[in-house]
Amino acid sequence: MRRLTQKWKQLTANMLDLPQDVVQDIPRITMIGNVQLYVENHCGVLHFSSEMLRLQLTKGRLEVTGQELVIRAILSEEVLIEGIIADIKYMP
Amino acid sequence: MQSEVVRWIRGYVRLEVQGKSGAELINRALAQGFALWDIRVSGEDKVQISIPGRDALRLRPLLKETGCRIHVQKREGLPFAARKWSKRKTFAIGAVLFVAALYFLSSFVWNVKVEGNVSIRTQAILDAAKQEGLYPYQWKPRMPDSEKLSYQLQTRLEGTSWVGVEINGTQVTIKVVEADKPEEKPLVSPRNLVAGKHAVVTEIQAKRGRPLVQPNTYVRKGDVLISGTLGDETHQSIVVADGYVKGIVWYVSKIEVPLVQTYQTYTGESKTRRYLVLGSQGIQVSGYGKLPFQQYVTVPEHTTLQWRTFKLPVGWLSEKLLASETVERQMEPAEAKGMGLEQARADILSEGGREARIVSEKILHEKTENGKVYMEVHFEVEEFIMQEQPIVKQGE
Repeated sequence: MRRLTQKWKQLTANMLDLPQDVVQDIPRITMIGNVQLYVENHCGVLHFSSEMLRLQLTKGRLEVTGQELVIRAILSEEVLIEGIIADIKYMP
Repeated sequence: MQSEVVRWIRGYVRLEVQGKSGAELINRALAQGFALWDIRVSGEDKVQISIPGRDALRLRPLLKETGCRIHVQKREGLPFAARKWSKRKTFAIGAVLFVAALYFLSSFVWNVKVEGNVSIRTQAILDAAKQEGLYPYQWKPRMPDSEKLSYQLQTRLEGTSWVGVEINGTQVTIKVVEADKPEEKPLVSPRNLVAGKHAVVTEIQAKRGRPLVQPNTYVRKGDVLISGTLGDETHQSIVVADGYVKGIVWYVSKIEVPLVQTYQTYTGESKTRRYLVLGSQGIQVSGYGKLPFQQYVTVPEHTTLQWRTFKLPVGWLSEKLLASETVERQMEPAEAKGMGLEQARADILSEGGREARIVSEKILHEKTENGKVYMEVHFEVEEFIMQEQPIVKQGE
C-alpha cells in the first residue's frame, strides 16, 4: 500500500512537472561554491567534527567532508553548513 | 531561521558541550524544537553551540540522558544587557535624563526667521510676532497655533496679502507675501495741447479739456488745440488737458539715388586661421600661407577656458576669412526712382511717429544727371500733431 502511494506521488510529480523534493520526502541540497551547503529534509546529525559531517536522511546517509566545518544554523529539518567543503558522498 | 537582530533581542548563550555523544545531544535538542546555530568543534569531544537563553535551561534533562556537561562561555543579547544596566543605576538615570532634556529643550522656539519681505522691515515683523506671542525662547504649548498666528499677523501688518507661520521643530519661519500696490501715476502739471506743426486738423478727440478747433481748419505751430482752462472768466478751473489731435502735414523730400549700386558679396572661398590665446597674446597655430584672395571679411570666434565664473587667461581663437568681392550694378532710372521713393516714405513714416499714414504723394521735380536721379517729392501725411504745453498762471 505504501509503495503504491509512493508510485502515485511519483506519477503525479512527473505529470505536473513538480520538483521531486516537494512531493517526496527526499532531501534538497543546495551548494554555493565550496563554502556553503544547505540541506533540507534531513533526519538528524550522526557525526560532527570540523573535518566531517554525517547526516541521516530518510533513505541513506549524506557524508560531507572538508575543513573547518561549522554548522551555521540547524533546525529539525534543515541545516546550513559553512566551511571549505571538499566532498559530498551519498551512501545508501 | 531567525535573524541576528531577533536573536539578540531574545538573548542567547554560547555553550561548550563536553561529552562523547555531542551529536546525539544536538539531535535530541532539535527534536525538542530548540534552535541551534554556529555549531563548531573546539577540541576532543568538545562542541560549542549557540542556543536561546530560554532553551539553555531546558537542556538540562537532555544532558543527563546523554551524559554531557556544559559550560557557559558567553551571554549575549538584550535580557543580559538589561540585567547589566540595571546594576549601573546612575548610567540608566543619565540616559533617561538625556532623553527628557532633549524633549524639554525641543519644546521651545529657538529661532524665528522671516522670509519674503521686501519693503516691510524684518524687525517690524518680528515685533508684531512678539506681540502675538511668537518669539525666541517661547514655550511652544503657550504659543497660539500657526493658523491663528498667521491670521493675527496679517491683520497687524499692513501691506501684506498673505502671512504664513511654519513651525519646524524648534524653528519658526514667517513667510510674508506683500500686497502689490497699484503703480502711481506720474504727476503732471496743468497743460494745454498745442499744435506741434503747421497742419490741417482731420480729427480731434478731447478726453479732458475744451477742444478749440474743428476738423478741416488750418492750424499754425503753437496754436492751442485742446485747452486746459475750463469755464468762463468768472468761474475757472485749470485741468490737465488730455486727448489726441490728428492733422495732415506737408513734407517735401529731396531724394538722390545713384544709378550705379555697389554691393559686397561673398565668393564662397574661405580660409580658417586658428590661434592659441595666452593672456592678450595670440599664437597662430594653423592657417599659415599666402591668401588666395585679396578682399575678405573676418569672422572671429573666441572661446575662453572657464571654470564656473572664473575665466582662465587661456583661450582659443578661430578666425574665418571669407573672401568677398565688390559688385557694381547699373540700374534703370525707373528702378532707381522707385527705390528712392520707397526710402523717402519709410523715412517720413518713422518721423511721423505712431499711426502716421501717407495720404498722398506728388513728384514735383525729377531729373537724371551725372549718373544720379534727383527728385523732389511732396508728401501729405496724416499724423498726431498735438504737443504738451504747461499752463503758467500769471499775476497771482
